[in-house]
Amino acid sequence: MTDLSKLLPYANLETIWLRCPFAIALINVNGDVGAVNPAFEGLTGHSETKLLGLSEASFAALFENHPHLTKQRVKVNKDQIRALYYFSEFASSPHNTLSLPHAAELLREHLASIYGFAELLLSQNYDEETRRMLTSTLLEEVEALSNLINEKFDNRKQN
Amino acid sequence: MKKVLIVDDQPNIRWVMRLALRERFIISEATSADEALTHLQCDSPDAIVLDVMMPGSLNGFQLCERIKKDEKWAAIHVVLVTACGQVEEQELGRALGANAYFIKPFSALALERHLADALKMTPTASPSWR
Repeated sequence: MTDLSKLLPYANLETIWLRCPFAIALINVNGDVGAVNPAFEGLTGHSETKLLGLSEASFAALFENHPHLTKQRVKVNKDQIRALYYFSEFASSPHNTLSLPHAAELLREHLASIYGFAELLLSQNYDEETRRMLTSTLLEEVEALSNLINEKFDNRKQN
Repeated sequence: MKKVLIVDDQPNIRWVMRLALRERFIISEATSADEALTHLQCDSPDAIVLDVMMPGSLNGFQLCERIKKDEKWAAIHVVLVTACGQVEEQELGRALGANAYFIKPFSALALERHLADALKMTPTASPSWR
């Protein structure tokens, strides 16, 4: 297996740690959470200050049966690091498994509804009840579009 | 009034089109190409607004091809509406005999104007590609 610490200068490893879009947590030699990378909080919703010093068992328990994340443990036992955990998004949402062309089609479907409802609201004189229904459905489409963007294109989870 | 069959599996898209077209056309709807085919056996519309990607044994392209190859339906004005913007797909729609091609998102009011014009046009009039 490639030893990255020999191949890459420390500064580059730090850059990877800071900019990696995946959530990573390091377990120190004492068996506690020693560090989490910046992507961790965005992806999992757990802040670094809450997690630092937590025992590995407690930390792992936090992510048992998580609806969106699956965790992998990698044994390290080198320097000050006993293990690391990395997290990837679970395919719990159908959007996660979409190919980009299919996601583009779904985006276009939602946009077509939004375009259509907005155009009709602007150009037609509907009664109040119809306007309310159209506006409500338009907002639902915006929400569905937003969910698709969050789940498919944005790695940073909203808290 | 002329009859238009809207074929799309997305209820909100059907709703938008129904609202845009109902003043000038008699509207019927189908949620799949298979359902549209059943509808065609009983009633032949003047135009079909046909989504391309739909669940079922037939997609919009396949239904378009069947319509255009069948003597009793070939004169139906077929508008393909698709969420796929690939040029190759547009070329395929054209090759299968579709009269017009709208890419989502599209203006439902432009669709209404297109159908109003198209259902008056002569068989030699130019097709519309948007």
